[in-house]
Amino acid sequence: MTQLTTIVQFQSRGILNIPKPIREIFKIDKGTLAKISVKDDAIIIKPVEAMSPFQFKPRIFSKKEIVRWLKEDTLDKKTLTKLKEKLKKSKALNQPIIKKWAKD
Amino acid sequence: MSKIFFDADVLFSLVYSQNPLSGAKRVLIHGYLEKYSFITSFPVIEEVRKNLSVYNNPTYLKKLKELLEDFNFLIIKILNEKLIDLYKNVVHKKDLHVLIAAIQAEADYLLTYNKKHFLTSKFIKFNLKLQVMNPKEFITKVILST
Repeated sequence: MTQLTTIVQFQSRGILNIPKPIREIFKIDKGTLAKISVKDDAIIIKPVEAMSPFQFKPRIFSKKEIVRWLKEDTLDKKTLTKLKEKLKKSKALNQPIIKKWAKD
Repeated sequence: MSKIFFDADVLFSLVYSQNPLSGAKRVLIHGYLEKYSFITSFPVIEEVRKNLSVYNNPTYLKKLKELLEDFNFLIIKILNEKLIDLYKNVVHKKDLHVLIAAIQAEADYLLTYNKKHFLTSKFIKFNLKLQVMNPKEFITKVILST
């Protein structure tokens, strides 16, 4: 493992800039998560991906599976009617979020 | 207050589907009214985002952002390593992050269209409080039964 030591200065609210060479070694980008822990007299910062026991790789969904999901998601009209009645009874139709998402 | 964890397939459908008969959308509306908490995870959102980006339609990403904000989704960002170790053989490696995030968040329901991926014999042996179902089942078994 590369030995690299550098001195940096804390900014307000404990913000610290990790020097670019170190960011490059650990592939730290904007949004990279890190675990911070204390051991004896040291603060240990570990990028989460580097310590993760399994690598998460987002996969691309196939058209076939998307079609299956959409089909499986479709309610029958009887169920939808029951839900609409429930919604009417709750008098929630005027709530902004409900109005926005229940348009159709 | 019960908690619902959304898998990537359900979140994706919520954004992508224009279907007025969508069950997932009704889960959101009725779950919100009945004060359920909505949960997902950072990797799940990344997967949804990546798949929506394929369509090169900026309204999809905007809708995803609005959905997460409007319904006040709790987003699990860091997975508990002890849980990963405990459940690592329960489901396939590619689905493990979803199961761990749902358990970590103490979710009552995991909504997915891929129930088979989670309901393995090993999962059942753990006898967890987490119930795996698709949105349509959630509506009939939970929303309409109360």
